[in-house]
Amino acid sequence: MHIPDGFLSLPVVAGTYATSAGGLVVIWKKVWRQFNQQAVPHLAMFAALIFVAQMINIPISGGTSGHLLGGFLAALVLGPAASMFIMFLVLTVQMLIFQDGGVTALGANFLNMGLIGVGASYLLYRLLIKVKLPVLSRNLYRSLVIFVAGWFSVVIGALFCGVELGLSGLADLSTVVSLMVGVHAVIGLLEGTLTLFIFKTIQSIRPDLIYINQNTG
Amino acid sequence: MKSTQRSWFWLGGLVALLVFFTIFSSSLPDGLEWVAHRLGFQEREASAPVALFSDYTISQHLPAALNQILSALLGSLLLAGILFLLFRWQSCRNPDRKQNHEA
Repeated sequence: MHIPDGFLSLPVVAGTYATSAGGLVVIWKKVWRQFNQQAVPHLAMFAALIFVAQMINIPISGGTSGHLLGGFLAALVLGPAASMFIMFLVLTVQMLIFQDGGVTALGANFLNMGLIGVGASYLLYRLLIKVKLPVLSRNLYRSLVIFVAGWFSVVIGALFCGVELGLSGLADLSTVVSLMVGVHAVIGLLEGTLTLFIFKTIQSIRPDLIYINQNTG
Repeated sequence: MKSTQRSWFWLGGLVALLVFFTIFSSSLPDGLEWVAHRLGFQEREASAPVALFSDYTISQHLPAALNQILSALLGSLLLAGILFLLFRWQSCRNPDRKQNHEA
């Protein structure tokens, strides 16, 4: 979902850069309050995990492929602010060093996969986890919510990406949005599954490291 | 959070495992590329003004699998370096500042 150079119009580039820059300042202040220098290896390893996971494209039906974005996973383990910040760093390295995502599209890519993708999915998780379903055990329900929020992180990012492409005049807005959401609704199933699998692995090895264990239910 | 400083041992193992799996990465188009191709705006893609190792290729002379592994390692090291420098820079700017000390 990395938008390359040449896709976005100037107003969309300016708007997404301004929004992302404002968000980044707020996020960095939160990260700096939450973590100290001793946490750098932990944050760096998680950043590496997301960077490497994003390199592994897995074939999806219909001749397309998808990879873990990892933003919601990082939000569960490190908190939403740290997750957004790591997403920004990962996107910046991908763009500058490996030409994955455009320079003019960094604001949009960070908005879609960082601010919106992480923020909206984490909010959805916080809302859904408060619901009590008597038919499901607490553990099973929590797993279901993690899967759904992981899926949602990709779909909501795709929705915003489609809107940006449509507003840039590349295609009819409703057509590009529906196609982006449609194909990413399938790719999101991979995100939900991998998020749940990796989260459960970390939970079983080092539950003390997980942010939501200390901050939510 | 306690002892996050030791977490990098096993997180590092997980990253190393994923680095290995990069060699099996699919070359099929991702969701956005698929949509761009379908709607006919793929050709609007412009070359980035800055690109050192385009498409995760360190050298054209190396096998694709080795390029993937080296790119994964290079990106991981860069991210670690950036995070270290950012926190060090912020510590120098605010030496007396109290933090919540999650780690």
